Amino acid sequence: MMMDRTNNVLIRIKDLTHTYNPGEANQREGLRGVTADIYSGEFLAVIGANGSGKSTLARHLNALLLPGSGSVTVDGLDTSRDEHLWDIRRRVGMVFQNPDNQLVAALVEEDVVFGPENLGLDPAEIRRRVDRALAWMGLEELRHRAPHLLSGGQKQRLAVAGVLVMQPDCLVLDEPTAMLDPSGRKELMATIKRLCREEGVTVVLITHFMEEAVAADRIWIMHQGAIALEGTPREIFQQGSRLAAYNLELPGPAELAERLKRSGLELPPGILTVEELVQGLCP
Amino acid sequence: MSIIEVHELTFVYGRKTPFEVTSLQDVSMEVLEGEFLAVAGPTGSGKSTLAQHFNGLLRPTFGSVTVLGINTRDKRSAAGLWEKVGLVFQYPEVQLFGETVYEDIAFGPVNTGAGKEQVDRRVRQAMELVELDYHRFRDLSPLALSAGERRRAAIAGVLAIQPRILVLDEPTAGLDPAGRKRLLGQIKNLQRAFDCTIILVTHNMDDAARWADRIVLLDQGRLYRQGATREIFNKPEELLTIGLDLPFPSTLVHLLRGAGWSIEKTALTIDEAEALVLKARDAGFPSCSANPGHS
Repeated sequence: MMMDRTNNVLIRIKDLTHTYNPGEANQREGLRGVTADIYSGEFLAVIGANGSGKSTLARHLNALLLPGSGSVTVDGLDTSRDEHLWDIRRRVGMVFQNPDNQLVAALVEEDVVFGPENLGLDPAEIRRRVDRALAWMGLEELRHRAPHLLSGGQKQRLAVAGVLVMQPDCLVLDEPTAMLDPSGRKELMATIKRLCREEGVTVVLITHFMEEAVAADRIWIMHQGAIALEGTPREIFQQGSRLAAYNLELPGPAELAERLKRSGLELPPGILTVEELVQGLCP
Repeated sequence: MSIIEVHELTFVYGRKTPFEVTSLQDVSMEVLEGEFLAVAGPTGSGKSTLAQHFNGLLRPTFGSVTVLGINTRDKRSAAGLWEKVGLVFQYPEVQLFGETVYEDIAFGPVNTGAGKEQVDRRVRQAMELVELDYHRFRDLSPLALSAGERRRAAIAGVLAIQPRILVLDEPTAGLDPAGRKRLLGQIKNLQRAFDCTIILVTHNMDDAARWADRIVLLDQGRLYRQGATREIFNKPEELLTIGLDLPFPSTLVHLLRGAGWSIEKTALTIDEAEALVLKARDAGFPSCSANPGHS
């Protein structure tokens, strides 16, 4: 999908640096000068080795961390200005790896109500939003259950519902599927994609699973605190062996297609999924 | 020869309370000496509960678990199992507590009553096994390490006990692809070099396919299948029904079979898949011969 996105920037990151423990013996550079834009309505995947700065960058997107130097603006609001804090946090919602750390209430429904109640919304509006968020995440039937008795996948869906109910412009997910089994992973990924396509929610997905990154519109590869590569999944995964320099690997089908081509097989360019590979082998 | 025997194991959490949940029901399985076994199943299938029976941390509600000839119900003998069965929990790095990496890894051997020199030797060896440089890391605080390094330090702490059986619960969750491959490669080496029996609890089917000799599948607290890795992945429908995935190479074989290729044994690794496709090409792509695209 090609469109002119230049007028469509939701989050602008400019010369952003972040230093952990500045001035101390264990000082460490988290980000070294990141400049990039996140477009409204896109599905962006951020991949990179452990310690490459992915999570640090994510935490700058809703002012959980503040720039050492440079700036981050969300819809024109500067994250370093105190008066914008709550507005930014409402617009950019975060979901982390371990859902147990972000569930707060004794019942599923109460957990989702928590955010909008604190916004001081009218009860009818709260009800409408909560119903909608529960429906989106497929949790209606579990609304009177206790969160700690849910499965891992259900808990993670509840964590997303708790963010969604705030009607954010952007959803930032930091390895949301790391603790989920394959069907939980697939389910959550499908829902996130649908939220992006049908509701226009901007999605920033941080992940170690290359198959998840393949589903995005655009990918950033982080390396040593900077964005090393940017492009569509096809552009990125055509880099082949260059990815190894970033501690990444090709998705299985892309890797095999590459090897088969080296052995002289004719296959179409840009194979990323197993279905595309089978089609290439049996056209 | 079996090193662990699980016989009709049933385990109930919170028995005789309103929160009673049966987590394992009537599970019988075995672990063979020196093998690399994967225990797989969807979330909530009882994998972690089963794993905690292997060193006597949990004891059967009904049935029995025998580890290295010791019935885990026998509290006195089972107490010594911690030295023989190393258990690495999910996110083990949250249990790092030492001021330095050395202190943390030395904790286990110190408690086995080993002398100073022996402790030192074991720490060095454990660090070598997980490829953490002894001189570079020994005096660092565990908090100064990267996620992958911290995970490996935590695992080294268990290896330093020199267990005969190593149980790892989702050891690669949250690691990048290179870190994942590296860690599992190191674990495979333990099996090869020290005849250590490895039990890997995972829902990552790619990892299971690539590294395990055998697989035990659980579903909803019951034993679903057990068998050689290739046999398990040769029957895709059985896995898909319980919400598990096939590893990519087996998925490819599954789809190619659907497209009319006749393939006898499924592939478990990309190398095997590559060999299989090249063999088909050399045979002139028999099933795709109607298509001129591959002439």
